[in-house]
Amino acid sequence: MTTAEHAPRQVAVKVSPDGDKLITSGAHYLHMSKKDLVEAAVAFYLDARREDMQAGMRELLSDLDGSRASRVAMLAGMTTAELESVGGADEDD
Amino acid sequence: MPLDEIAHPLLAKAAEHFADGQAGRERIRAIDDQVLFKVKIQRWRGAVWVDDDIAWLVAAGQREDGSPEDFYAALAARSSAARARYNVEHTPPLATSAYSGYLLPGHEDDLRWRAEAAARAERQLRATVRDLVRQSLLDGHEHAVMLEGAALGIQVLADQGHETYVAIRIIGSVPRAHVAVILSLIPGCQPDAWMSDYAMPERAVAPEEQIWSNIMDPAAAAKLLDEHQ
Repeated sequence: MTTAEHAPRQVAVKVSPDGDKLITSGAHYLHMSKKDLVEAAVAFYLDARREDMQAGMRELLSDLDGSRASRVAMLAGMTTAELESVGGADEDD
Repeated sequence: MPLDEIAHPLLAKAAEHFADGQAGRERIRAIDDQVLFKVKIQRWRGAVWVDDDIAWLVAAGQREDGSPEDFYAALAARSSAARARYNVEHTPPLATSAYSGYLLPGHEDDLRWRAEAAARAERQLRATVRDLVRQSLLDGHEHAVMLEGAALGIQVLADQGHETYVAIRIIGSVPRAHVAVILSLIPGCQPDAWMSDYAMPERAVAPEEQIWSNIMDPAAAAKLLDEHQ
């Protein structure tokens, strides 16, 4: 006796007519189903954007040198020189 | 010293009065080029200018009834003289009877105000982050607080003999600079090793939720716990 396993539930996603045309053409071009193309494209795009986000955060973090002045300046949206010109930030505070 | 920590009755009165949007405001009539309001307590008198909901105490003195040294009388005289000087130096001349622009906050005042607000925010973030890391180090669970409308959660998983993993969860609209400062305050983490995740193993990421993770130096974690004891 065998047990029939239920296939995972599929979910419809609405796209514009132009988007659908692009997905259809792309799926034909790459010889894959529209579903597989959309899933692979979304994962690829999210990974790329994640790289962008991480790179942006690394850049911001590189402006922080561990000093309180650098953190206060970043929160205030000013340079450490501007912060210094109005009294700076007490490192022992 | 931060201006809001200066203990002076006039500053305290101005801060209290202008924080209340419903409180009545009395304009200084002799000043007609700007809207300046009176603030009074004991013998102290002040002039307040409100910009974008920030109340600036731009001049202060003491009441001297009937004397030209009285604060409001002196302010009117100075502003009238300033108007005369302004009109000598500028074209077109002012049509008002007073000039008080020289009293208003300038670029340096704005920088100072922003710096003080940022210093307060940094102090709060530093204490909160260290507290959340410490609590999570002790029980391995996520600990979270609400900070100005956003939720900040921190979970540290210290696996004995393995790496110590730290995850930061932020829900809400938080400026990226604030996120960077929060991450920088986590002890024992390499700044260039922070990873962001768009999915959680057991659930989807919520709207406006961001998750950052890193490996924490166990020595830094131990030091944080020692400092607290």
